[in-house]
Amino acid sequence: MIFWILAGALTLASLTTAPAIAAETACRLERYSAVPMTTLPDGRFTVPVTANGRTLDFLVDTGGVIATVTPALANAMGLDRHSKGKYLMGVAGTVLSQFVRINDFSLGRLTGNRVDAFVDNRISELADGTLSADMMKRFDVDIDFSRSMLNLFSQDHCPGKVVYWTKEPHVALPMQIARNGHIHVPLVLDGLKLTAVLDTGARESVISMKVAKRLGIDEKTDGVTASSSSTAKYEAFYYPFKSMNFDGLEVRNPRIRVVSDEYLPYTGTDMIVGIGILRRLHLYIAYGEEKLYITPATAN
Amino acid sequence: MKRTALAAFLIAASSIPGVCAGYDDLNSGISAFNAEQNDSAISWFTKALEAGDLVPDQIRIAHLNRGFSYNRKGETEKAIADFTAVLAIKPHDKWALSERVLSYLALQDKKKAVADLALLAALNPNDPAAAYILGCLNWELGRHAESAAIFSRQANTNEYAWLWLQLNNVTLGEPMTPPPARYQADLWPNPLIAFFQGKATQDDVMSAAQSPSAAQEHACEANFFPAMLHAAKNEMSLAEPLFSEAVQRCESNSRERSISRQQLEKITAKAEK
Repeated sequence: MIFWILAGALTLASLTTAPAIAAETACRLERYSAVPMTTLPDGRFTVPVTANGRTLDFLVDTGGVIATVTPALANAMGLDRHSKGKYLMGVAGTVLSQFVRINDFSLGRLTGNRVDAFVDNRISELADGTLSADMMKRFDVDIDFSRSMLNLFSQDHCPGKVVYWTKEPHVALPMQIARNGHIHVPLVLDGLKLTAVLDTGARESVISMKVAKRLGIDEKTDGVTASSSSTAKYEAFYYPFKSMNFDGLEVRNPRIRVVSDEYLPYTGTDMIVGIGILRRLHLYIAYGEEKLYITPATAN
Repeated sequence: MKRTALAAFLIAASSIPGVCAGYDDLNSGISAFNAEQNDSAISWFTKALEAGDLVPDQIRIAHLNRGFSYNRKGETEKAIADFTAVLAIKPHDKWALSERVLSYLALQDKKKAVADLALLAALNPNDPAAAYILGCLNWELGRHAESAAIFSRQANTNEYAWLWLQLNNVTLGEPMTPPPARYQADLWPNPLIAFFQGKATQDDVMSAAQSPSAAQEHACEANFFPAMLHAAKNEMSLAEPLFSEAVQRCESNSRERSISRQQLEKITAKAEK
């Protein structure tokens, strides 16, 4: 799970469109980039990027704050590490304190210069790095799981006119973009109204024990099963939740891990919605409009 | 009104056979796979593939995960068939290649394992992540000199590569090398490095893994790496409980967990002899 709270100031990535792509009529959806996903065994996905001329696989992490790279990659690319005054705190109290600067970065047809990325050794076998909110929030991000494509669109369009993939009904959820770029949305879990962070970098969806208690659930409730990833410090269990509802779009039997309150950093939300649930949806994240458009993943 | 219409849509979509049915089955397979429900995962991935409507990336992951699931059940030949199918779609898939190496190894087919290993090495000789996997695979193949050579190139900058290098050195009867140049005393995995150097006890390592700043995976590594060091020194009675604990603590699908399981099987097999 890659999920961070910004605790310092960093130079943000400056992704721009290639010169050949001109702004067009405001009401028309303008696709800047379409890149194929590579699905990982646990359901998360990477996309191809280029960094200083190297083709790499980056995990798409809407729950991340700033891009990351593996230490091995930073070393192989000869990138100098810096640390003064900048750090990130993540789940379970992890801290990242070193970052590198990538001079030339591209994602599909988009290019950027002087992209800063933290060094994180926890993704070394999964990907070369992560794409996070700092880059993605400059665009509308369309995650089309059923076609295994990630599309980036211009934010310059008419409000509400984004659901291009289906004529069937869709849900338009208001979303709040936190200062660190996290996407907060409302949902209802087994009848309880919650606010959640959408996190494509999280393998599992999680709620804290405190939130579970509001649903009358604790480790002794019928149906609870222990999680193998419990540790002496952090307890965890699964409960067979019945329904997660996004303003009428229902995900049945969502798999959600209940974790110790201390496991999660302060997010200002009740829940993290991870890839297991998100993969069941087609997500159009309209960062500019602050709306999340969703349908079932297979709607077409 | 919107809710009614959407609910109707959801029901309709799920009741029409052949409307992206494979994608839903694939997701069910991934969920079962993550929960280590191997039979269920195999069944869902098979259904997904039979639906015939997956895009190539989805066909690849259905085969890959079904291969992993077959391997977990010990059905190695079926696993190899799936990894081969993945490589037909994506010839340079490092997951499929590295798992096929291990599968050939399980069948004692060292020649094919080494051939795949060579493909993996040629894939991207400058890719540090691939090199790290290659180092681990060489270790698992018992090619400790080759594994040591790979890890020694990263050991000065990557603490985990340093740990693996020392495991190879101990196995080969070579002395341990100095810790990495970027070694930061206050950060994980310093306690493991100290343990390897004989400057910390297992209790120290466990204590650090449960400190307020520790990440969840530290509990896995705190058992796994000391167990590996004990095993390299042939101290199996010390290694065994730590491997058992690593199997409990390490993430499913992690290399640490898989190696711990293999090591426990070896220890059990030796004890039975």
